Formats: sequence, structure tokens, C-alpha cells
Amino acid sequence: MIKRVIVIGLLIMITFLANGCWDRRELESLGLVQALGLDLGPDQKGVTVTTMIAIPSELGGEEGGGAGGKPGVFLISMDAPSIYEAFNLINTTVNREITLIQNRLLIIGEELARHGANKWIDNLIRYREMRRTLLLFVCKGTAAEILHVQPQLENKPSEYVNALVALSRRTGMYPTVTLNDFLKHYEAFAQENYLPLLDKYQRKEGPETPPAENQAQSGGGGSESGTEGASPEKKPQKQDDVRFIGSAIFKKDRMVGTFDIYETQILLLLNDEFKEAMLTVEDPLKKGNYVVFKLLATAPGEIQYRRQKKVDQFSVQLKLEADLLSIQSQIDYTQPKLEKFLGRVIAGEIKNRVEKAIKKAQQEYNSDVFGFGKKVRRTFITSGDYEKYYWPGKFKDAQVNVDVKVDLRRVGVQFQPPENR
Amino acid sequence: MTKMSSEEKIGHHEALSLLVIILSAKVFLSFPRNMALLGDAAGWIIVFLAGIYSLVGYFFLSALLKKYPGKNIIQIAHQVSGGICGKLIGAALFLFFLMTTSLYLRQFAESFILAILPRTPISVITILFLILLVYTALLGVETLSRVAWLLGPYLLIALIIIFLFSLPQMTFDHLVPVLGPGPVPLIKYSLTHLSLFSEIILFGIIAPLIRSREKINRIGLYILGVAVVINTGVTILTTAVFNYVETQKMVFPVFQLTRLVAYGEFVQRVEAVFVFLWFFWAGIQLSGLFYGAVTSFAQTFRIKNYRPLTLPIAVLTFTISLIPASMTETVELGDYTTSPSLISNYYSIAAFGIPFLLWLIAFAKKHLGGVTND
Repeated sequence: MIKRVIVIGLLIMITFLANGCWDRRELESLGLVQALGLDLGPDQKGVTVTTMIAIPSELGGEEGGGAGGKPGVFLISMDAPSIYEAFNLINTTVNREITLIQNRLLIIGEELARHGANKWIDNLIRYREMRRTLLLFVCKGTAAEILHVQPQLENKPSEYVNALVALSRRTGMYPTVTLNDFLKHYEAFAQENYLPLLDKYQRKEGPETPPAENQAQSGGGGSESGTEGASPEKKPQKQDDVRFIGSAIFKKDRMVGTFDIYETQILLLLNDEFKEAMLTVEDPLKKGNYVVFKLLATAPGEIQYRRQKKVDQFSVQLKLEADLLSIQSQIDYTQPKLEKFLGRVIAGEIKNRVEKAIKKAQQEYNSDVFGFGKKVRRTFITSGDYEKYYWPGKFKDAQVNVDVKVDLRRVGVQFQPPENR
Repeated sequence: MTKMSSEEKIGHHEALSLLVIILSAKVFLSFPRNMALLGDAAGWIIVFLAGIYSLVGYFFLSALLKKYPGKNIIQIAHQVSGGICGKLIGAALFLFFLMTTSLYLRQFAESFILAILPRTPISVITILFLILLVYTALLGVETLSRVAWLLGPYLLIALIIIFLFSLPQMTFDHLVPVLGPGPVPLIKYSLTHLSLFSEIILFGIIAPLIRSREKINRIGLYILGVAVVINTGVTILTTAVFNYVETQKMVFPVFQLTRLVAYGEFVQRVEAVFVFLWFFWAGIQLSGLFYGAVTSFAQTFRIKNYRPLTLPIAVLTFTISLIPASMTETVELGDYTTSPSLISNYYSIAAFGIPFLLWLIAFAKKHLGGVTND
């Protein structure tokens, strides 16, 4: 009898306990933030937080929203002294509790990044809902503007950016950086930070510009300027898109400059994050023509470090592979001898770019984004010695020798180019 | 001489897994962070060295257990040093188990609040845990050690899964400078932080219950060996994934590690699964330590049946666990910051000093002849 009473008592207790008394959160009561934008507040001290909140009823069914359907998210911005206070402020108008548990993107406005991120870093990592797998971006203009861009191919803007980020390994034109990566570099004295840089981009539409030219401009030509693709004149009635235009370079917690997409490829190459990209060099034997190839990083680059008479010396050795994609000049490069020659030409071009990028980082930004400091750190036995050496102050005067070797491995499905006889 | 409830006997596998779980549960707490604080990138060397010193410390314990077969450390203390001294030593051990149980309980409760239950009051989590502890203590160490042997392999597999998923994130560049603060501080810290493996003293309590007596000595060595490997491994892992500067600043590094686990688009946000891992881990560890507290009290005052003591000691544990005002205070008290706290020193003395002292007395008695009564 007593046993039965106890069992019944327990069962009743369980019904109360199983409610999840304190930490119960109904899904319907949550405002799931999909992307977060941070801009410098109007008073230069606070922050303008833009949240992109999912509207579950519109995100739901696959068949419900096609292209041109409702965006499925809505945006709201608030000025506040801190990120989380802004959430509370947003909750004075939004009826769902703002939560970051689904947030994957954080876009930082350029002004805020240049102003210094230190204040906000702690804000980001201390809160338990903020995950270290969060993807970070810097954008030209304000993050609010970028978040307002409605992509055409996808309904959900955050999914759009996610997919775009995944493409980074196909082009190497912008890095992917998580909050964890950022923090790893942040205090280690060994490497400065870089983040992907976003900008608004106006598509060239309709018949006035042929699509071929559009491709040539944004796709390569080996030119230095990657920003060319973004049209300078901005007509408000035209629809905007988001575009990666390279990377933002940080020194300590401040953004100090930018690398364009080609410099970013070099940056990723030296960080062993580069996978492959289509590139173009001018034909060495017939000027005015291009040789198009796919550059593959198959082996990690080697960086060796020596300290001689207080001078830091590095030798960078890159071993790359290339697959031919197109020979415009009709010269048959598909012979072992010419292949080697072409490999040397490509290597020369890449070496040139690497040296330029390193020089830019040293002289303009004084920021070791390439991670040379990691090699320096290895040579010290105790952390005290290493911190005393203060590598960030010495990067500027380091000597870097670059050696690039490119092997042409494959030529596609064709040997000789078609001849014009 | 009092005997523990004679029906309790445990196998050597069970004892091994129970003690390993108890010794390595701290890796889920601030342990990796404290090691990074002490030794920068070389925190793992401190753990490793401390483990080796503990082996030396364990030698005295095992010598005692061999010399007085069938008796646990408190009974040995009674026999070797006489009534009052034996009681004092027993009380010291009781205090040790009480403190470790309370402080680990508090820290695990805090980690659950941080990980999954941010709005639940801490007392609720602690009380629910204590219900579990009281229950396992009533069932006895035989049941507990069987549970440990049953779950141990799965817990280890889960830990290995975390390890494997973190492999892509690891860079050995984060383990330099190799010697961290330098060789002298490393040796010094590993000596002052012997308490890293202080829970091995529980082996002194349960060893007489092990069925195969000839294996006792070896099991102790295996326990320390496996625990050193796990603790050192996790310290290396966290430092290699986050660098040492980052690890120094994290409250629960392994929790952050599980939050990084992602494999493709599908396997993501799996830390909720791993919360179960450390719930089981914590449950077994705390039960073991709580059992240690209860039995050491019973043994000290020669109480034949320890079971009525569980509830009062649970209340005591609850109260002590709520003494630290904040989480930082708990971490400082329970764990081991740069200069070892009073409690941390006390842990080392209780775990390694007492067996050494008893061994000295026993040695002196044997060689100086029958000066004292036997």
C-alpha cells in the first residue's frame, strides 16, 4: 500500500518536473536570429545592432516560397551601449525572445572595425549563446545596408551567404574565418587577423552590357584591381547584390586596410587555406594572348625561419600544380619542354604577386597576416622569451625570400590547340 | 576490528574504471584552463610530471596495503598509529572527501547551468545530484563500481570521439614555446600541484574489497597510468585547438571544444549529446567521492553500518557546496591556480602525506623493534 502511494506520488511529481520548469522555451516564443550586423553607434561609443530574424511561417514550406516570394526574414536595428542590451531593446517591439542559438553570421561595419573591435570581442565570447563557429565578415558601408540586400537565388539571405562562403575554396578569393579562428590569432602575438570583406555590388543587367564582358572583368585578367567589378555609380532603383571583394586586414583589434581578391588568394596560399582557383597569365611567347589555368595547392607551403644578426629571415617555398584550361595563342604548350617553361612563367608571376602582397602587408599595414610569427614562436623555448621578443614590432623589417615552383600536370582533354590553318 | 559490510566485493576491472573516472572527471571542468595558466603551452608537462610524482606517492600507499592485507587506509592508521592519531587521520581523510565532493559538485552544477540550464537555480541541480549520490551510497560501492565498469568504455569512446572531431582543428604550432614558463617553474608547479591526482587515496579505502588481492598493487599503477594519459591528453587537446592564451581564459575549455564539433552540414551543435557524457562522468565521480566521505567517517568512528550516515553527510555536502559566493570563487577554491590554495595543499597532504607518514611509522616500528605496543 505504502509502495503504491510512493509510486503514485512520484508519478505526479514527474509530471511537474517534466515540464522543464526553468529552462523551458517554447519554439514559438523565440525570435531566431539568422544574422547579426554590428555598426558603430551614432554616439561613437555604442553600437547599432541589426538582427535578421526568421519568420517561421514564411520560411517553412518548400513549395510555399519560390523565387520572388516573401523574404522569410525581417530586419530590425537598435542603438544601444552593448549588443545584448540591444536585444532587450528589440524585445520591446518584437514579440519573440531574441536568441542567438541559430545565428551563424556576424557582419561588422567597416567603421566599427576601423574603430577597434576590442570592446566587442569580449561581448561576443562571454555570452553562452554565441558560438565560436560563428562566421565573421567585415563590410564596406554599414552592416545594416548589407543585411537589407535581398538575394535573388535564395529566399533566405543567411543561407545565401552560407553557400557563398562554401564557394571560397573554389576561388580562394576571400577567406572563411570563424570567431574561433579570429580569437586564436587575436592574442597570440604570432599572426594578425584577416576577415572576408563584403560590399554591395550592382549587377549589370539587360542588353546594354553583354554578359561576356561582365565575366571577363570580374573573372580575372590578372589585373591588380579586384574592385573593378563593383560599378562605381550607384543607382538606387537598381537591385543590389552582395559580393565579396577580398579581405579586411587587421592590426591588433583594428582594421587597417584591405586586400583585393587577388592579394587574398596569396594570403590564403601562404596560410595553407588555398585550394584551387582559375587564373590567367599573359602568353610569354605571343603577347596579347592569355594562358588560362587552374592553380592547385596540393602540398602545403613551406616557410623556413632563420635569425641572423638580429635580422629575421624567412624563405617561403611554394610548390603548386597547374592544369591548363585554355591557350589562346595556338602555341602548343602541351609538350614536356614547353610545359616546364610555362610552369616557370606562371611561377614567376605568382612569385611576383606573393612578394607584392608581403610588401604591402609589411610597409602599408605593418601587419603579419601571413602567420610568419608562428615560425618565430617555434624558435623560443619559453613563452616569456617569446613575448619579450615582441614579433609584431619586428615583422616590418623581416626579410622574406620567395621561391615558387609550378608544375603543369594536366592539360584537359585536349593536346594541341586547334590551329587556324 | 570493524569490518565493512562483508558482502561487498569488487572486481579489479570495476575498481580500475571507477578510479580512472574519478581521477579524470576534472578535465570537464576548469582543469585544462588552470594547466594553461600554470604552464602556458607546456601545461601538459605539468600534468605529466605530477602524474609521475604521484606514482612515487602511490608507492607508499601500495606498500601499506600490501603490509596490512584486508585493511583499508583508515584501519591501517588505527593499527599503526594508535587510537587518537588514527581518529585524527581518519577525520582528515573524511574532510578531504567531503571537500572534494562538495567543490566538484558545485563546479559540475555550474557547468550544467552554463551548458544547458541557464535559468535553473543552482540548488535544484545540486539537490537532484545529491539524491543520486545518496542512492548510490545506499546501494554500495559494489553497484557503483559495476556501473563504472559498464559505462566506462562508452564514456571513453565518447571522449575519443571528441578527440577525433577536434583533430582537424588542432595545430601543433599552438604547443610552442615548448617549455612554457621555463623548466624550473614547470618542475616547481608540478610538485606544488600534486593534488591533481589526490583522489587516488580513495583506492586506499576500496582496495581491501578487491577480490584478487595479488593484483591490488598493479591495479593502482594502471589507474594512475590511464588517468595520467587522459588528463595529459585533454590538456594537450585544448591547448592545441585553442592556443594557450585562449585556453587560459575559458571557464570550461572542453565544453567550448564540444561546441566546435562540426562535421559537414549535418553533424553540428552536438554539445547537447556530450552533456550526457559529462553528466555520467560527474555522476560516477561524485558518487565515488561521496562514498569515500561516508565510509571514511564510518571507519574513523568505527561505525559498523555506514548507511544511516549518508543523509546527514549529503546535507553537509549540500551546505558546503553553496558556500562559495560565485563561480570564480569555486574555481579558485577547488582547483589550482598559480599559487596553490590552502585547500589544494591540503589535498596533496591528505592524499600523499598521510600514506607516507603511516609508512614511515610502520617502517620505524619494524626496524627499531617493539618500542610501542602492537
